[in-house]
Amino acid sequence: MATIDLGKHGGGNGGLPGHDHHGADDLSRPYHERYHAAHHFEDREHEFDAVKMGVWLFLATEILLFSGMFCAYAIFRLMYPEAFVNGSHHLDWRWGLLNTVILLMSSYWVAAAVRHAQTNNQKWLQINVFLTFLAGLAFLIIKFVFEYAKKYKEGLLPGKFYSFGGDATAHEPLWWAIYWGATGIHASHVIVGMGLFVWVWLRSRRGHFGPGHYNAVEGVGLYWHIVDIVWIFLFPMLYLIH
Amino acid sequence: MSGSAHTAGHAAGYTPHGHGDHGHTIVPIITLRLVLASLLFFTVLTVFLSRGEAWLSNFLNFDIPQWVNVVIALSIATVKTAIVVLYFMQLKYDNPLNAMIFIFTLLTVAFFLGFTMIDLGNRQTIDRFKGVSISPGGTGLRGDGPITVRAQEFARLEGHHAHHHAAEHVERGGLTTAGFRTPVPEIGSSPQYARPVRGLTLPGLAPAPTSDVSGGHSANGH
Amino acid sequence: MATISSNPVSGHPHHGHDHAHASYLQPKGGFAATVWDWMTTVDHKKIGVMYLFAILFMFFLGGVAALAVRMELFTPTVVTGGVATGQELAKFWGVDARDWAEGNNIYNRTMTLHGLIMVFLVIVPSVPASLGNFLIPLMIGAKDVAFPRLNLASWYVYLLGSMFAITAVIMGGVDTGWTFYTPYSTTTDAESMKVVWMVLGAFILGFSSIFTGLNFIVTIHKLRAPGMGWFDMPLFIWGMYGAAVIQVLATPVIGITLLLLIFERLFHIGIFDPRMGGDPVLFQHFFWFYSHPVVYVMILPGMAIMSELVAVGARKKVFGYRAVAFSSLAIAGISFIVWGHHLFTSQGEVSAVIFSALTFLVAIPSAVKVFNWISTYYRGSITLNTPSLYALAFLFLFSIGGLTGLFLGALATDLHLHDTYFIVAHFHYVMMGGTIIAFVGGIHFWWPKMFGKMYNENWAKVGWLLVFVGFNLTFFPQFIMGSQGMPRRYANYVEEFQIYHQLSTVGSWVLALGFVIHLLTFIHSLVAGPKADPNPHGALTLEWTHTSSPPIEHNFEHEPVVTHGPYDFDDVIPPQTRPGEFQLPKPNPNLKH
Repeated sequence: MATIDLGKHGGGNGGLPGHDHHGADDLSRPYHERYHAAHHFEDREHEFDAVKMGVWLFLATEILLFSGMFCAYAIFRLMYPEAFVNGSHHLDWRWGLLNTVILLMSSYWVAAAVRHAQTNNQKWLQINVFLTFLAGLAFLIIKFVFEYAKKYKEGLLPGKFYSFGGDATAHEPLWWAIYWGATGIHASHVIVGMGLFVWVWLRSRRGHFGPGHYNAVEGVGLYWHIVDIVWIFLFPMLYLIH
Repeated sequence: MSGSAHTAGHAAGYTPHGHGDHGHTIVPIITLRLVLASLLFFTVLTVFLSRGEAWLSNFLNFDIPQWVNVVIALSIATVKTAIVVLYFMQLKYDNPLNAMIFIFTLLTVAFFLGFTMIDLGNRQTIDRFKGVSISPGGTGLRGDGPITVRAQEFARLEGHHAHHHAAEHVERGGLTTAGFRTPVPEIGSSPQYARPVRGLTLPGLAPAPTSDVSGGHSANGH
Repeated sequence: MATISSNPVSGHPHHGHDHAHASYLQPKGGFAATVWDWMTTVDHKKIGVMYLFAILFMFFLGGVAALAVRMELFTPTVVTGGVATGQELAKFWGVDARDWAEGNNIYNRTMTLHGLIMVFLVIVPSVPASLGNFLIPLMIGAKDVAFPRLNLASWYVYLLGSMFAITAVIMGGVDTGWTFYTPYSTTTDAESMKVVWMVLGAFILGFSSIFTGLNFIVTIHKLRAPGMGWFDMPLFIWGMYGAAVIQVLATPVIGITLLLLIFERLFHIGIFDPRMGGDPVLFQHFFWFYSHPVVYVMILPGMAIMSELVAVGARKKVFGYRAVAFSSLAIAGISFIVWGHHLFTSQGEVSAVIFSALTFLVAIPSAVKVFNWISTYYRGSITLNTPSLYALAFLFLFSIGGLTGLFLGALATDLHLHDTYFIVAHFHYVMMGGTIIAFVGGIHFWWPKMFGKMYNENWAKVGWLLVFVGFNLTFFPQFIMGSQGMPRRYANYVEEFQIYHQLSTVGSWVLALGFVIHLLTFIHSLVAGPKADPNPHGALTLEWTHTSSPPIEHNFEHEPVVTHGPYDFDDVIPPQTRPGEFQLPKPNPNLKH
């Protein structure tokens, strides 16, 4: 397992010798090598550490945000197990499985993208970031076109708007409230993540990321993994109930 | 993905005092691929077990308690999450501080879910022995019986006055409870899903249904 | 632990024209340029000052609402022949005396306005966003907080959230109470969007809180000056750290709660609606999972200020530094497992018993702090200036607030006291007698540092006296009438309670007068106050010993190196030195650490 250290001024690129302060400002060198940490940090390593910790704290808030939905799910499944089982049978587990695979693949791509930034593999960095973006897009298309639209047409909506014509269990609208609430908030996170990946992709095309500086790739990647983890739980909880 | 032969070496080692004396780990590409493979394996496994369980119960007309489904699904999801967190999110190689943040977050979530469920899961324990002696309160309804029954009656009266879809559904589907735990029906109500369904039977969390409060509840209301 | 800092800023900082070495308050060019500079600044000091003024303005608004509430309660409403007398608020707004229900409606909205403003716009951000922002980097020897742009974003998010809240007020205000309990909050004002705007405002304000807390945690972990270990930090930092942890871990839950509440109002999803099988008590669990910990977001920063005021006021090392430090973390931790004591009358009894037992745990770290502060005063060389007086007031008021909390934590007693004025008095003694008193004391303490001007000590003491007397006059009668059964949130009462209500209302006027005197003192100080020394209190933390008053743009001329503890007065200052005679310590390499 290899490691790199980020030098104070120069990049951690092993092929390059250490650089002094003036060399670091040389515009002919790529951005990620001449990048300076913000003035209140000592160096890039210091900044990287702080940024990563900040991202983890942000992820903590995300986990707690979703925990509200999970709590509501647990309570109401405990109260109305039958409504949950029967409501779940309206969902097609095959779409859920496909979306799970897509998100897992995208998680792999973004993890690999971090690696490509660390190893200065610019081409594959861009490709991987773009692939992740596409995976998010595919997820949303499946979600909206093949699932949400169908449920909307059938009237399988939460609460007041529930107007399903067929047989229904008592409290089934509550199941749909949980389903739409949880997947809707998750989908909004996917949309935000896609926006972030566009930003990362544009910056990676300009050579902003490399061994010396890849805070944004790392941070957005961590966010994307959390979005993936939420779906890892949502998939069996929503699609695979009996 | 290419890039397995990475070239990153060690730059001139500058170690700021007090922090950052650990380098950045580059996870080998083979590790990432193995992780992906195991994640996909567990995904297929969870679907397989779930479908198998459904098939088993339908084919053999064999009733599997719901907690089996829950335990299997959540265990596999937890394993998958652990893999993602440790390898994709690199918590295994990271500053232990970040792992602490993650652990404390999970602890907070556990408190949140745990205590809320202790309450909502045990709500009916009071009604069994106290509900009968509670005098009519804010609902304005007179009469005896457990508070759940009177609240259900109140909800039904309310339903007659409301004019939106939900109210119609209240009439049609029998959504006539007032936020209190209702008894779990023994038999599924929808004709096409007539398999018996049993509630979660975690000890203490879901008290057995009492027969005297099922009066206002119509599971087969149409 | 020994003394002496290596490179203290001299008493006469050189004011170069270079911005990095000029006071952070120095205008950048003309008026427009200066305004633009403040609006786009990422300097934690400027953001802290902007927060301070915004919070004080909101405090003024919330205070006016409080005075209006007390005004209405001066006399009970009596309706004879369909005509009401004693509805002061309705009279003020020109409502027909025959429309007495509208009078009550106005009262409900005013009371809600007071609660919402004071909780979401004043107390939660009060100390962290203003003093915390300003002081944390200075105290730990950093140039800025870890994420300066996030800090600025937090400020604008605060403004955005306030605008939503104010929009709701302009639309007529809401009558949900600050707790937004369902199903009332999902059904009241059904045709209007104002409840949605108000809830959305609170939702957005949560982000501001998260940004601040996240920033502080990373700052404290990563940006401490060389030589500053965890136990060399001022206790202010420990308190703010505990508060920040709660802000990060609890606030997201109110986010999802308020989001679901908005969905409930707009789409009737039914999660909190009993008619659809939802559970209103679930809302209370969700709500208090945030709102109880956030009570400690309010009080921990107050306690953080207290440690500084007590140590400097007594010119003595804080008794039991580690105990005080760890009690901050203990309070933060325990805060997450006691929220159920707000639901004693609505939740099931099984969990009520558990929550009641857990609630008493909070008393331990709180008492540790109070005892340690009192022990710090013991044989100290106490300076009775305004900040010290506020510290003493805090000890007195917070002890009353804390001890009455024990009554409420006991399950059986609480069933009697629940939703009475007893609880109103209790949380005002903690929130106002604790946090706001410490906040005002802290503003006095750090005022010379923030603005480089001294305030008039005598007038400040007059203000303190009026605030202290007025506060007790306002809230102590509420304990009595609460224990006798006066329910909270009502616009009317039976005549037996009139004497207590009138005492309380008169007290609110005295309290208001005290704050007005403080305000005038501060304005006078800004306009004509004498210039402040870098260290007028003779304190030993970095913001006093290593920066000028006010600090330069980059905080420190040189990166400070910490060589002594924050309260090592005996090692640094000769005994019997009066604050005015205090000279900054000179480097002394011979002292042992």
